[in-house]
Amino acid sequence: MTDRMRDEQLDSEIRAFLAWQVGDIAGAPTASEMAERISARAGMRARGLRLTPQLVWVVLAGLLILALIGAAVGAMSLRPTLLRRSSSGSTYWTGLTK
Amino acid sequence: MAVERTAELERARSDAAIAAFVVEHYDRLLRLARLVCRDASDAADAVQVGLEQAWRNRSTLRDDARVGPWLDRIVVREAVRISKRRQIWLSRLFRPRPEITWIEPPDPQGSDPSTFVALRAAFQRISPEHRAVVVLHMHFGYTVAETASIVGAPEETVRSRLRLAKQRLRRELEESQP
Repeated sequence: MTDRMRDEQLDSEIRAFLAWQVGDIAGAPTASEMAERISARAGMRARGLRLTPQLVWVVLAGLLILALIGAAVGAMSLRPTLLRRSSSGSTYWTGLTK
Repeated sequence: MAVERTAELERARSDAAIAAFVVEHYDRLLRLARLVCRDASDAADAVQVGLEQAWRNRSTLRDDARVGPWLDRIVVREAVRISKRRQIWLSRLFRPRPEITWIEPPDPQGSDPSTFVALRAAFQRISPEHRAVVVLHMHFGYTVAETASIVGAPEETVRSRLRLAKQRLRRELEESQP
């Protein structure tokens, strides 16, 4: 048997197998059950906020920006205190201004 | 009161439209997903997620004649994703595979049943991406270019997956022959 004949035979066996296997959908929900599920979820999503991955990223980015702003504000409010302490002659803080 | 009534009517109309959409495409999509996934419950999950996604994004489809390939693309990609997730050991640990019961072929069309059994076992062992291209090209009749567009891979990759899948199936078939 040539390679070409072997290929054709294999192809026809695979096609026959797939045609048989495609019928094995026992236990799957019916079309109307599936429609009910999808309607229920579509209704739920139309009413409520949908938590998509994009939304999660936006929330995380917002939190990160808030944290950065908080850190910047915190650092700015802390700096005058440090400078004041260093200029008052305390040996503890002098290293910071040199 | 009138607003509530209008909302109710709108919901009923939307439910009817969803039902018509699902009934029209469900059977074909379930069969497609069933061939790509290793079990019926994964196939149903893939179809549900795919149909929901398609329903939400239906306004993006410009040509109604392309709805079949468009849905096939969404469901095949979802089926591959679910099947790959199954392969991760952590997922297997937390979501164990339900007991699979095989139904013997009602009509093996004169083929040798042992060939089908061997092919079934071999088909289970190839990767979901390989199963998807074999199914789309050899059962649903898509060309290599169309299959590439559906699975989102270059044509050369699809050809290579087809070749490797057939090699594997052939080898397992030959090994199973006495």
